[in-house]
This record gives sequence, C-alpha cells and structure tokens, in this order.
Amino acid sequence: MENIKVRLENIKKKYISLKGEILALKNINLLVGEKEFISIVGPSGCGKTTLLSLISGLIPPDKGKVYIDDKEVKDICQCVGYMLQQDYLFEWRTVYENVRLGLEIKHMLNSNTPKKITDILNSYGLEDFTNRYPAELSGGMKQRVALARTLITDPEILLLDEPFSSLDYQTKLTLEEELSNILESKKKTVILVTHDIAEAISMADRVIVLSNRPGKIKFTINIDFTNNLTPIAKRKKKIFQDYFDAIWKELEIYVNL
Amino acid sequence: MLIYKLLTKGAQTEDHAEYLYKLRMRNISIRMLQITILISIFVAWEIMGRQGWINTFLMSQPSKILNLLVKMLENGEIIRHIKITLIEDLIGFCGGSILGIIIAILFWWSNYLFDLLEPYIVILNSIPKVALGPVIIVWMGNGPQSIILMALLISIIVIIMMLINGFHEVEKNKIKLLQTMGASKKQILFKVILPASIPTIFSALKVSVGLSLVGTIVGEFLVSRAGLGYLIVYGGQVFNLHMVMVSIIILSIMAGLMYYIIIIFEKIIVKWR
Repeated sequence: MENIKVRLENIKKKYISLKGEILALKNINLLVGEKEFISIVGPSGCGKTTLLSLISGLIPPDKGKVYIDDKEVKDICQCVGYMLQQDYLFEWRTVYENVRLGLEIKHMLNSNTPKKITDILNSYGLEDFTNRYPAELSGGMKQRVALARTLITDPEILLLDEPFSSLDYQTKLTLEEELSNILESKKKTVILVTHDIAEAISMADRVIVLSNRPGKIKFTINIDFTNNLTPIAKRKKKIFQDYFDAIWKELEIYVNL
Repeated sequence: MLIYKLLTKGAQTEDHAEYLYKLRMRNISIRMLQITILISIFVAWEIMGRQGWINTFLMSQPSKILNLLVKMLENGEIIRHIKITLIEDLIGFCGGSILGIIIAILFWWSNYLFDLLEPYIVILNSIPKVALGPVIIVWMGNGPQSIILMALLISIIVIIMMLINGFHEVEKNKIKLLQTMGASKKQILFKVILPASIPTIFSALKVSVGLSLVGTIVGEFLVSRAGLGYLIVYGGQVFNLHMVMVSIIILSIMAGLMYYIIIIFEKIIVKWR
C-alpha cells in the first residue's frame, strides 16, 4: 500500500438512547490505500453502516480518529460519495434533476453542468429516460440513476452501503459488472459494505470481516485473481470458492437461527 | 355505431376497444345519473310546491328561488354580497394557508419549540373556533376584519397539524442522503422536506378551503352587515326562505368551484404521479 487514503485509528462508537447505550464499534484500526477497493462483511447489526457514517463524517466517533488524506475528518467531506441501500430518488424530480442534486447541494453548478449530466446518462444507458420520473423506471434503472447521482460530483472515495441489496439477482450481477467497468476507467477508493460474501469477493481487492456487536475487525483477506477479470468471470474461478469458504468460516459461528 | 366509434377512440386492438367502451360507458352513465338526480330533486320540489303538498312559504320553491335570483342579479345586489363573501374568504384562506405553512416550517426547524407548544395547538384544534366569534368581534370590531380572522383561525390550525405530520413522515434516508452530500438545514428544507410534502400541502388545502368558508359564513352571521352569510341570517329572520335558498345554492357552487381550482393546481404541480 503506497498511499494511504483513509485511516481509522482506535475507533469506538456507541449509541445512547432512552433504553441505555449500545456499543456499536470497538477498537477499529483500518488502513485503506488510494484506489483500493475493500469490502466489509459481517452479521447484521455489527456496525457496518456506522463505519461508513464515521468515514463520511456524518457522525463523530466517541474515541479515536478518522483521517482522509492525513487530515482528520470533522465534518462531511466533499471528497466522499455515499450510496445507500436503496436508490432514494426524489420522485418529484426527473432523472436529469435527480442526477443534478449532488451538484446543487455542493454548489457545483456551472455552464458545463448540462453536458456533464447528459454525458453520464448516456454512458449509463439512461439517455432515453432523461426527462422521466423515477416512478416510470425499473429497480435496476433507478439504482443506475442513483449511481450516476453519486458519481457526477466525481468523489475520490466511494462509500457503498449494500447498494444492490434491494435488487433481484440478475440485475444485481449486471450492476456489479457495470460498476466494475466504471471503476476500471476511473479508479477510486471504494469501501463496499455488504452481507453478500460473493459480492464482496467478486468486487474487492481485500475483504474485511467484522465480528458481532460490538463490531471489531476479526479477519482480513486479500483477494487476488492474478489477471483482470470481471465480477462474473471471477465467480467462475475455482479460487473464488476457496475465498468464499475462508470468509464463511469466519462468519459461520455467528449464524444462529 | 357512431357512438361506439367515439367511445373507442384510440383503441389498440379489438379487445382494448371493448375495454375502453365499457369503461367510458360507465363513466358517462355516472355523470348522467348525477345530473338526473340533481334535476329530479328540483323538479319534485317544484311539483310538490305547485300541487300544494308542501308549504312554499316555509320550504320555498325552485321557480321562486330562480325569480328572486334574477331580480337580485338585475339590481346587482347578489353580486355585491358574493364579492364580499368571496374576498373575505379568500383573504382568510390564503392568509391562513401561508401563515400555517410558515408556522409548520418553524415547528419543523425547532423540535423544541414544537414539543413546547404542542399541547396548546392540540387544544386550539379541539375547541370550536366558532365559540371564539363573539370575543373576536369585541376585540377586532364589528366588521370584515373579524370575519377574515375567523376564516383564518379556523383554517390555519388544520394546515399546521397536517403539515407537521407530513414533514415528519418524509423518509429519513432521503434526508440522510442530502446530509452525506453536505447539505445545510436550509437545503434539506427546500430540497427535500417541502417538495416531498407538496401532496400533503394540497390535502391540507382541500380540507381548509371548506373550513375557511365555514369561518366566513359564521363570521357574517355574527357581524350581520353584508355577504352571503348575512343574507342567510336576514332571510331567516324575515321569513324570506327564497333568499336563504338563493344564498345556500350560491355558496355550494362557490365551495365546489374553489375545491376544483385546488385540484386543478394540484394536477399542474404534482406531475410525477
């Protein structure tokens, strides 16, 4: 790892409510290299989403520090693009206007904006839907628009919080493939949170397994397919199953029905 | 055959044509029956009056109502009263709506303020605002200002209550999405809370448009100087039931028209549904 993009130091995070407090994350130390793609898997409620919220600056840690480019994160970082579990497109805005949202919020509108949006819509195969409302789109289309909305501001770090979990299997594979294509041409630092081990392996350079609550880093594994393969091609390799088994073993003890 | 062709306009296939024909026939029959029911009521009323089955002095009669309406239209009297009621109502309704939206926004902005004032608003919502009428007249004076205030008070509370609920029902993750982009509270208000609540705002307006008319008419009852409410009270006192009926019919038309105007606005603005 030559350049460190994201650094988490001794992170502790708890949530306090009327009922008491819940320790969400404990002793998290993590380095993410520039243009590295890491996946975080773990049982539900282990603090995966909290981890992303901390990195984005949405919430502060109780102890420890988050650094991006060696600068401590104290507020929302403009360099972060965050994608949620569902598309959360604004139904009163057209596809075009939804994609423009991030630019509006970040005060990045200029004379070049319309061309920029048109270009990104074209490259995602959404050109025929520019002036449609989200209600007229399929689930996969919507998530594609959400991806365009996230990437239009050209973030250096991409935080993905189970972005494909609400989609059906085929659409999910297609979108993984497309995302991987996009990242091929525009390398970014990506942190993908997922409960889908196969997705984690087929997308990431490194997979991190979190323990049950309070979330700690339990296991880290480097994923290496030697030559550049697409996510679907990776799924067909024998070594894929080995990675899967290794991660499954670490997760398995937490499976109780 | 011509009717069938007209009713199946735009059909894609024969089955589609059949479907369109049935659907359109159903809608037409509903409209026709609605009109028939209305006409039948007036015709029956007229016949019963002419036959002497009902006392037209107490029950009035369509032909006499029509005669009076024509007379009042000729001397311009009814137009004057309609104008007064309409202006009072519109000022009260618009004022109540705008103020109500502003107050709801303040309550959204400061949760503390809302929790603090909530019990008072709940009580204000439950007491019949009409009961405040005499107080308002004593304080504000016996004139249109009191009527407008009644209309405003009666509609504003509904707007506030419905909007506060609507604002809180906006999906939390849509707000989170904006926060991850670094949005300010003001941006969250204008980019998500208000646009997401437009359908709620229209529902609130539809409820309050009728309520503000109630406020206006009750105000005119109490102030008793001019307007359709005044005509109703005056007509009742001098046993001129025809005058009462003329006012009520005009009021119904007014209320219906205002409701439909809001629906038209809603259709123009809420394009995404």
